[in-house]
Amino acid sequence: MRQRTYQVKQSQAHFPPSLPGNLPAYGEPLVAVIALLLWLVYAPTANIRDMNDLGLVSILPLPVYVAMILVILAFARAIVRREIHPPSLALILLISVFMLYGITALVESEPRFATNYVHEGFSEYIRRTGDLATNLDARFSWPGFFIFGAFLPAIIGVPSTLTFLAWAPVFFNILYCLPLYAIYTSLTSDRRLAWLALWFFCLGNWVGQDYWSPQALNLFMFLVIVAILLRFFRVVPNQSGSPATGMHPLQQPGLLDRITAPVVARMRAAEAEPVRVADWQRTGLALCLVVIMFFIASSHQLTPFFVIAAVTALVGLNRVRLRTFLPITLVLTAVWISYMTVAFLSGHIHDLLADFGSVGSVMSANVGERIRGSPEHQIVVYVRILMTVAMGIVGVFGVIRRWFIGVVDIIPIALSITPFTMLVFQSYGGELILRGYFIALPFMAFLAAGLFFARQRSIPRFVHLAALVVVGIGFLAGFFLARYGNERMDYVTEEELEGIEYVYATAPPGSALIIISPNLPLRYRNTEQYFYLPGLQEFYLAEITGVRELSQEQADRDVFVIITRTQKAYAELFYGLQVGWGDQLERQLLTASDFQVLFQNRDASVFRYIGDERGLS
Amino acid sequence: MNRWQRWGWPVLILVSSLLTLAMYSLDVQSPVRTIISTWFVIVCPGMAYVRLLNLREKHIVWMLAVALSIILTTLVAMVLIYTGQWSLDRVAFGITGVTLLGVLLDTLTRTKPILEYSEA
Repeated sequence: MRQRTYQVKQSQAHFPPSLPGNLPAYGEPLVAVIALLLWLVYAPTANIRDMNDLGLVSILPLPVYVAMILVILAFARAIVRREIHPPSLALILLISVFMLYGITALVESEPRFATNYVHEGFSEYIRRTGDLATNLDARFSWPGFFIFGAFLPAIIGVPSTLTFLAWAPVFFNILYCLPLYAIYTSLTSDRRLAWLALWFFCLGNWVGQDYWSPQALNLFMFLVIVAILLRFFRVVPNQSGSPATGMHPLQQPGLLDRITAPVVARMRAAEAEPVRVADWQRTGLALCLVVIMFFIASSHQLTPFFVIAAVTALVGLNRVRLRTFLPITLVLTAVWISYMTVAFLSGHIHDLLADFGSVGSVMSANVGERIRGSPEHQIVVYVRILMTVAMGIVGVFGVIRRWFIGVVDIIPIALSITPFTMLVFQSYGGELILRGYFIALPFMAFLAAGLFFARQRSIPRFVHLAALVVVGIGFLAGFFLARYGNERMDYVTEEELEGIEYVYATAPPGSALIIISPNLPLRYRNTEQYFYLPGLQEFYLAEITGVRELSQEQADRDVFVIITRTQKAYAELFYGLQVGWGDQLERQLLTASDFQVLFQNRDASVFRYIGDERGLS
Repeated sequence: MNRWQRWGWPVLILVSSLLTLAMYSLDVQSPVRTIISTWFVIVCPGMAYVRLLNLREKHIVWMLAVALSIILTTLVAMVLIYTGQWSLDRVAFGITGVTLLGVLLDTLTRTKPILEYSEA
């Protein structure tokens, strides 16, 4: 039998001698450190009160942008060096993460984002009672993350997770870099490509799911699983033509093998050799996988299905030898759902299955229904779509370019696609595309990086540098607009929290709290002791008549009406209500005889319904 | 294997565990407590067990150490909740005990180096 072999061109990056005006090895990190200092000086000078519906970009001072661009220049310059210097790249990447994800912690005085406060509320409940309120909220049925959040503040000596959660995005994105580096260096032996993919991931992660949330922690766990599978359990495609070593030991090469041989050869050329470990080590690592999967199954509704989809793809493509892990993921997920989430499932099974197969309506809920609100907010939504599509398109070009130099990155291609298969089953409240992008991004970023470092010999280094700077600045601009585009409704002020604290100090347990829109920093304390009306779904009460009707329905208990700045901004951004609608509602409540103002400052008002007492309702 | 590799981590984990537990028990209010305790919760329990695997790549070791630390802490707390035994003290002592068990296993296996890294 004639062994057909395929010559695959070398994909490692080799550059011609240095650029004119070459910097010493510490040059680029030094530029990044100077940029960081500039950023640290100027970022806190931004005045959040001046923000419009474009979000954070509308208030950042010019030196902050200069600092960001300097960091992009530094990274681009460092990565096109003839010999890359990993510690320098790591430092610049660290500074990039700090600047990209830590900016709100520096600009804003209080932890941002209403959902953060809800998550603290769940952890506070567990910390206080040692119980899980599965009838209060479905998320208690997947309590792993909230249990961790219950214990963490107690052991480190802070009052609550609110003390540190403003820095959660920085923490999580640094954390992601560990498994990502392991994944990328498994997918390629070209370290330059791996570092660029890491950088693209950081610039492309605009979805903002990396706040103090179960999905943020579970993305890390998901990446750890993929990293272990690819690093220690990966099957190397057989260069002679059979799909994979050990897959068909008795099969003779036939027509199919000859057809697939070029692809297989390209697959082999793409990847680094798997790490060889002893059987007992592999057993230990498999045990780690099972433990991590159990944690994921117990911590988040959606991530287990992303893991199942990814492992199915890897097993289906015969790229991992630990095939038994697939049934284990299925069993752990099924067992947790069957036994531990009964309280939630019994009332919601119909809702969960309602979207099955309705891809059109799911797409509409995920994309179409999001293009609404104020004109500036619609720009932000379009930029988000553009950012997602741009990463995908650059990735596709990366795949094409790598094909022509003899490389097929089949694993990242598969793992970029699998998260979106969930669209067949659920809309996840119109968030599934966002969540899918969050899970697919690590692999899309790798494919996108392939466009730049496929093979450099024929292209001058300054062309690479210029291309990276242009793409980097483009992604940076998109990142800030897309990620922080909702910031006007996401930032929380000290005055708002004073209003909420007043409610907690005044409203007795069992009171009804009427909230005119769901976006406010509430429920972070004694979450089970109040009735929240009209519920936390997307809903707003723009007129006093609606507030009054709701108050009258709850006349047998104490009724408090809370109006905050974030609620007003939410309705203006998402529903296009005119600026000032909330102030008008406040004035109506102030003059109404059946409502009594208890607390008021420029960002929060608290009213009490007293209609029954005066007999005027 | 040099002396640091053999004893450095077990001693560091042991000291971190005991310091964290002591500061928790005495309710010390200090940034030092926050730093040491965060280090303990995020790294130490997992590192105690990851070292048993004798892996060479540092980023893999750190990745697994952080993942397992968070998971072990959560599992200890989760068991106490589902068995109705929850208290912050029990979780604190429980995770310290789990960590010290890992240190003990690590020390025992390394004094008898039967688990050598394989190139096979």
